Amino acid sequence: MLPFLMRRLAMLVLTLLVASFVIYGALYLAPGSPIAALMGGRTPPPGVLAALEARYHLNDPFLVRYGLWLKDAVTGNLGESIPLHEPVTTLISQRIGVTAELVFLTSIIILVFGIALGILGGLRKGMIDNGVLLISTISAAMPSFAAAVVLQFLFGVKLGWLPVLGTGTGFVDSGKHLLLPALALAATSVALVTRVTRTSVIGELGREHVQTAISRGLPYSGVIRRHVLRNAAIPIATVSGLTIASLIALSAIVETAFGLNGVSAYLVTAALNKDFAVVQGISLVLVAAFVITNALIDVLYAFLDPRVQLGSRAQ
Amino acid sequence: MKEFKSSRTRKVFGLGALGALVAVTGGCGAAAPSPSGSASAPTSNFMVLTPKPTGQADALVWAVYRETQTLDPIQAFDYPENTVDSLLCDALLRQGPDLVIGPGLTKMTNPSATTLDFTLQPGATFWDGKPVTTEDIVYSLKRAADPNGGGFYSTMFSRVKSITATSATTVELQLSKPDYWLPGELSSTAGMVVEKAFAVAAGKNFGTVTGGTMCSGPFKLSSWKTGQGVTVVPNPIYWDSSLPKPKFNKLTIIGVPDDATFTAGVETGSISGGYYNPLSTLAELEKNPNVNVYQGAPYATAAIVISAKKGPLADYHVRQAISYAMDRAGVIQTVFKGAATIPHALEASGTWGTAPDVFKAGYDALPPLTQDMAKAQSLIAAAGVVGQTITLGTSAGIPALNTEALAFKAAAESLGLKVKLDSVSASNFINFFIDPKAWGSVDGFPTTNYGDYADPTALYKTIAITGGSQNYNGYTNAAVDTAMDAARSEPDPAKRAQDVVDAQKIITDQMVWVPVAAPNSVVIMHKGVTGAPATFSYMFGPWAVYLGAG
Repeated sequence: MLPFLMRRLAMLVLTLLVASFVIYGALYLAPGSPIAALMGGRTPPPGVLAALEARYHLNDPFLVRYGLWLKDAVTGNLGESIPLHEPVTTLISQRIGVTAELVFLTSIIILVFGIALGILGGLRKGMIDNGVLLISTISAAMPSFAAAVVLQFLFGVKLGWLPVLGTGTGFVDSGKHLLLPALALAATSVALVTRVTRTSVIGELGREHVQTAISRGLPYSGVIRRHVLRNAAIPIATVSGLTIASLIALSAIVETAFGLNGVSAYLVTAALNKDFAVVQGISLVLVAAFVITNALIDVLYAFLDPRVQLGSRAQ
Repeated sequence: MKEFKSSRTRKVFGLGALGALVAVTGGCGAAAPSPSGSASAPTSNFMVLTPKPTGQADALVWAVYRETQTLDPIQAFDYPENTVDSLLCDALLRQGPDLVIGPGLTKMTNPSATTLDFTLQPGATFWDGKPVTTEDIVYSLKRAADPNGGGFYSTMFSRVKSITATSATTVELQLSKPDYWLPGELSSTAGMVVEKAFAVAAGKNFGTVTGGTMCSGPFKLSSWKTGQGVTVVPNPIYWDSSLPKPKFNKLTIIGVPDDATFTAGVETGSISGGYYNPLSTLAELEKNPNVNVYQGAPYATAAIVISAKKGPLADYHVRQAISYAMDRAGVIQTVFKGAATIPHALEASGTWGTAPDVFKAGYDALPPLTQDMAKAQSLIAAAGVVGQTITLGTSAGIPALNTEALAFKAAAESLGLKVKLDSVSASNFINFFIDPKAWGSVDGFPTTNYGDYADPTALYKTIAITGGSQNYNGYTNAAVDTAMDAARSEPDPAKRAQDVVDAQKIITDQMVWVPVAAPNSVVIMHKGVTGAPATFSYMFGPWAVYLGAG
């Protein structure tokens, strides 16, 4: 276990370093200037522009700026946002909670509905399977920005059941505020998990040992649990893990649509404003979350399938 | 009497309806309270204040198009910061809901042509209870005037020689030459007064989330978390009892960039209101029984900036021709959903804070810029530029501006010109305004622009004077320069306005910028909330004191 974790940790650090360089480089090359965010489209009076560029080192060469950032980042100082003059670590810590709650709630929805529908479809041919296929097709065709508008209109404006904006306070209230965003975010992913689950359940059902067990008259539920679901679990875990890891980045659209103050929407704003330090900071959080989630899935493989050794590949 | 507003239907007012009518409400039954002295106000055709609140509201949420980034008034340069700062801080002079400039934190006198005296109002205190002193005023003004002070307004103080306290209550500005443009700037964010001791202690953190701010305004800062809005509460010890007492317990100003989000929010009441124009969902909101839409006089201007130093657009006859060929009515419908008028000049009625009669006469004397293809064709034929190419800068990422650029393109093409579009990303669009290479590479680009105070001068001085900060095509006209310079030194408001009107005639005739539309100031509120000014005064004056439940 320990060597596995050490290897993963080294990989995480390396990934973060490469990612930070690539992201910084991409931002540097992309057109636009952080001054736009300060000016909001108006013409700055003469002289102001040069003063601002000097203050934010905008005319320094790329490697000098990246070097300055990296030197600070190693000591835990991720820099300061240009328009807000606030430390990036503060800005992220104020927003990470909302995104984490949203991703957590969405993950539960995806896992519960995705896997349940998938198993149902896989095991019950005919009407039920067709129903599952239909639901997952509609759900897959519903991108989160469209789902957000539809859900807001239906449950917020027309029915007035759920709030359409903000995060709320307290456990129940935040749950109410986050339910619509989570549903909007889950739509496409539920379909993906449903489809993969259904396919792998059907695949496992057709395998020789399962057919043999069933024909020998072994208890059906036992066969399904021990032979079908257990073996189908690895592809399901893979796709679920990847889906959930990518939710952190995907939640930007939903956060914007529902006025949630999360890191992901902030990443988009910051990228548009060319707020280098903030983009770097949030990107690193996202990369770290992705790497860690994948490591967890690898650990999960070993539990799901004893044949898989930690650190080796799933068979 | 004509109906000026109703919650379900909105009338579009022809400019012919300009008259001495005082704004009244339609449908609601209550007369709009008109502030003192507004009988001759520039906004008489539109609404000034929305119906008075009748009750106390608890927590209100106000939307601006993006998050507030700083509370430092000298760095306020755009809608969110101006909307917030004008609640928190008093400027030396104050722009009322009708945008007329009157006394603010101080009263101004003019002992000589080159001396401005500002006398503190009695009893003025900061939120912490400390009295506002002349030291605070001198500090705040010097801070704004310092070119290295990090503020955006230092050039407004170009004629100021010295800023000194001449008594315990008076601050005197000595000028190198008379400057009657300065008082207008001092009624805006450049003239806002902050507490010296607080600002010095906060250092470079002043105005940030960490550092906060300390002012004397009718609201004090309660909390500010980035991304969750700035929350203000009524200042219980506010010194100026002439303003109404705010009828709500707290107000949070949040950033809502998305039209759909704002629409859903204001329909359900999770957003109390906001000033939005253009707004793609305006027609839907006007029909919604839970939402009230009110319109104030047009202040901002939608126009095509001309940056061509050579080629067809450098010839003002070509600009005139394209202007005649433009389908402005189409733009007004498409972009502003009707909440704009066909302009006569760049600066419409909302900007006439001083000498409105003179500005009105000058504006009315100019013809409305309606489409006239016959005139357009004869002008373009005389110019002999058919078949030549012009390049327009635009951004497909900013739909409203892009549509205006496309309307200009269509007009030019209908006259036989070739038009190339240089479309850049939304965040890159500002380069046309700040990067000489960017504006030099195109012949024109669309803008929504506005001056710092309610006087057409505030915009014209940046675009039409030789060397003006937004004079991208190097426009020089001796008559304009002379008239504007005379205005700057003219103590009498009516004569000053007449000088600007004279300049405006040339500026409009030669299409220094090509006016596209005069967008109304539009305030949208959920049905339970009312009182906010319908004018552009929310950018400069303490607008939320009028707000409450109703």
